[in-house]
Amino acid sequence: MAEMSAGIKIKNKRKKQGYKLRQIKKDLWLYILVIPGLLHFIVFKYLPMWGILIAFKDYNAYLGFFGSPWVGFKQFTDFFTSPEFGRLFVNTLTISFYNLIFGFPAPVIMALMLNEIRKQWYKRTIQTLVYIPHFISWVIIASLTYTLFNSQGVINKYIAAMGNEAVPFLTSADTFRPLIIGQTIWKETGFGTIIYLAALAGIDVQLYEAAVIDGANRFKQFWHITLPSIKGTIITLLILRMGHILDNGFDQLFLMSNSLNRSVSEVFDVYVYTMGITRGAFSFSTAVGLFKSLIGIVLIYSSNRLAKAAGESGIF
Amino acid sequence: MSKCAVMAYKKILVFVIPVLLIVSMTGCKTARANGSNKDYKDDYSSLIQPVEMKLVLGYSEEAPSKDNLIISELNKLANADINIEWTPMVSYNDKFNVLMASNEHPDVILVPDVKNAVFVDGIIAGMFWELTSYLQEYPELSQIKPLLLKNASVEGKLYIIPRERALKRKMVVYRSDWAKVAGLDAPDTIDGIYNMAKAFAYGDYDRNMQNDTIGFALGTVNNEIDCIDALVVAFGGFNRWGIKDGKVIPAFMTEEYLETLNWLRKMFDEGLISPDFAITKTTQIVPDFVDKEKTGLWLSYKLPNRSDPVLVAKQREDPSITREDVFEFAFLKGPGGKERIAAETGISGGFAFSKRAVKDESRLRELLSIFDVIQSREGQILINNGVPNVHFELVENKYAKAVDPAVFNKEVSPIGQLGTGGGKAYIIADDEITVRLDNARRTFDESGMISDITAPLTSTSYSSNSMNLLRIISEAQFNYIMGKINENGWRKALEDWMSAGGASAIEEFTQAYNKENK
Repeated sequence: MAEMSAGIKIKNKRKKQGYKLRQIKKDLWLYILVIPGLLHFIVFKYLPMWGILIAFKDYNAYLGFFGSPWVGFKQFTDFFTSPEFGRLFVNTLTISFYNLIFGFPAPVIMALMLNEIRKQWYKRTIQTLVYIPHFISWVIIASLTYTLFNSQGVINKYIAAMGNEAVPFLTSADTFRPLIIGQTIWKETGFGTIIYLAALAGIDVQLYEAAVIDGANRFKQFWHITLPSIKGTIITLLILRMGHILDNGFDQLFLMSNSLNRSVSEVFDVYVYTMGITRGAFSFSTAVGLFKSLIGIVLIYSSNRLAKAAGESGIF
Repeated sequence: MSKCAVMAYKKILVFVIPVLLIVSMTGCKTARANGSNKDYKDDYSSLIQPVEMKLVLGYSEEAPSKDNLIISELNKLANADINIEWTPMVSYNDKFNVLMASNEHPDVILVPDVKNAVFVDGIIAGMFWELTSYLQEYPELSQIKPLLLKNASVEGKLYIIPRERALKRKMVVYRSDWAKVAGLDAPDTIDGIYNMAKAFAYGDYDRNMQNDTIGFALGTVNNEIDCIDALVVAFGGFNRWGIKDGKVIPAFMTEEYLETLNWLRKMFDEGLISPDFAITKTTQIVPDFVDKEKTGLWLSYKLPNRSDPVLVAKQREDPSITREDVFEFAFLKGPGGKERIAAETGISGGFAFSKRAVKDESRLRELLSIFDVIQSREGQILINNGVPNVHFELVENKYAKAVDPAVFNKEVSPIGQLGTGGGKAYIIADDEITVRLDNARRTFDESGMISDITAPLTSTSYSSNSMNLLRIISEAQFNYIMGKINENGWRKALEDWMSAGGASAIEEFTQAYNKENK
């Protein structure tokens, strides 16, 4: 009996292998089409990954990649015990947290609002207009912010005209975070609506028709049809977003920081740049970068698990 | 051929052609590269073998062309084949760090700053030739001033050929026409600056009927107030670091520094300093404030140039107006009424020789002999002034005047980056004030030049932690001037600085200082 089942198993396995081969043969051209993309990932993403090994070395340009001595976790302990670590960690997380709370729902809300617009030409125009900020570089946005918010800028002139005291937006640690979050929302909200609008366009119109017949008003339609239909998209994007929780966007922070807000503006991204490129501590900054990525992976996995536990499909 | 076979053939072609293309393209590339290399060598083997030298330099406005006249003249003079790769000046530091990490080193590397951490790491790893003993073999290189060599050394050993710069550079620049109307003398004292700032801020010298002039424009560089050392020294303090009670301590731990801050705080309070000074880059002062007539008094290393819009506008009204009628400079005096200047290190980095590119001593000697020619008066004139009667002409045998300023800026100015001994060349002047300024810079009383005594010293705990240490002080400094913290807050920042690693920096610098001056 046992022998027989074993035999069947082997047979099944062979059958399966044959099936797989046949499948590949059937879609041979599709597999070939995948090759350039695969090569891209191998050459530009996987091979350079060996570079992270220098996080465990004391990399010295003269000794080179292979000659530099191994130091184990020294770079990591140096980083975790450095006086900067606590501050960087708190700053990074705070900005990310605010970005998540205020920045993440913004495109959802905007997409839903756009979806309710009846006049097509009007909707299209608005859609195009809100995409524009995404294509403006951070350098421009930072200088716009400086022009608008400095002590002689339009905003402060307005505040003064209202009879209030000028607010030092750019030179105060208290106003730094709102300014940063505001910039991000202004720049990315419009572009972020694209995916949600696509999801909204995919909702079956019959659902709405049925709901109208059942006497559902617009809010009920929104609550019972629209929102559940894009829930999956929202959750997928949220999970992906979690992976970037320690990325604050180097350009923005680098451009907006100055001596008076450095207590809140120094984050991992800027730190990696200063240590790695400006100071030449390659191993150290690689270790910091690796730490960031590890946190990202852990967060993606755990939020994916959570999503699955809550009955959603997750991303993998 | 059957239809089916044609299809199969086509299918194969689709796959094979791109592959062939890729292979053939890379093949071509390598073949061509090899070919050109050969040609290159053949060309020169017939000549008397000029010495090849590759280096990377930074340019500020436009990279000079490959056939730059000065380089070819220099090649003739030194029997060299100098090959320069130009990179933008603003990102040269980044370029340097990346270059150091790469395997391809040029023969000569321009080190932007002797204290650069990557450079020091490279020295420790044995990446560079030590030049201390070699320089003595060359007639010109052996004449480099001892102070420069001292400031260019790392732990008493020399690894670079320093680029000489003036020691006396930081100065007060002001609108001389406004000062004349206000009846004020040159602001060469602290009180002079204060009075002028007050006059400029409250008076309407730009005649726009608006109270919008910044009395005294301050700017920042690397998140520090630019040229603040000039003020501290004028108050009688140290230039960054000095010696007190047998210890090397930073300027900001002295009472003179606090006095400077109190003075700035008072000016800020009275509205003589822009409320946005902390976010004003020092490079913005001239284009954003001076050129818009929003300020007439600031600290700087240089005068606004001859094409400055304010000057040009004045000259349009009255062609006889010269630069000194609008802009003027002053060097600060100390409490005793004598000139007291925060001296520079006298060097702006220098040239190091990588062992990875320069394999043996004979090659090093070849390269050093090129630098010996560069260091000579003839070489320096060529590099800084250009070719006589093409780029410059001598006026009264005293100073050089550009024949065509546009050509001069394009062809000569960038090559000045090679200038290892600019003092040997003629003063480049286009009007009276430049001659006066350069002469003022070249003449000084040694006792009035306050140097940063840590310039030749190293402290590992300071350099490894300098970012954090600087942050503590600059944050407190700005907050103090802006009135956000009081004296207790300032003293607390000093304590923070001590416990964040400042104490060990003081100890290490003191040790290094005692060792040096035994």
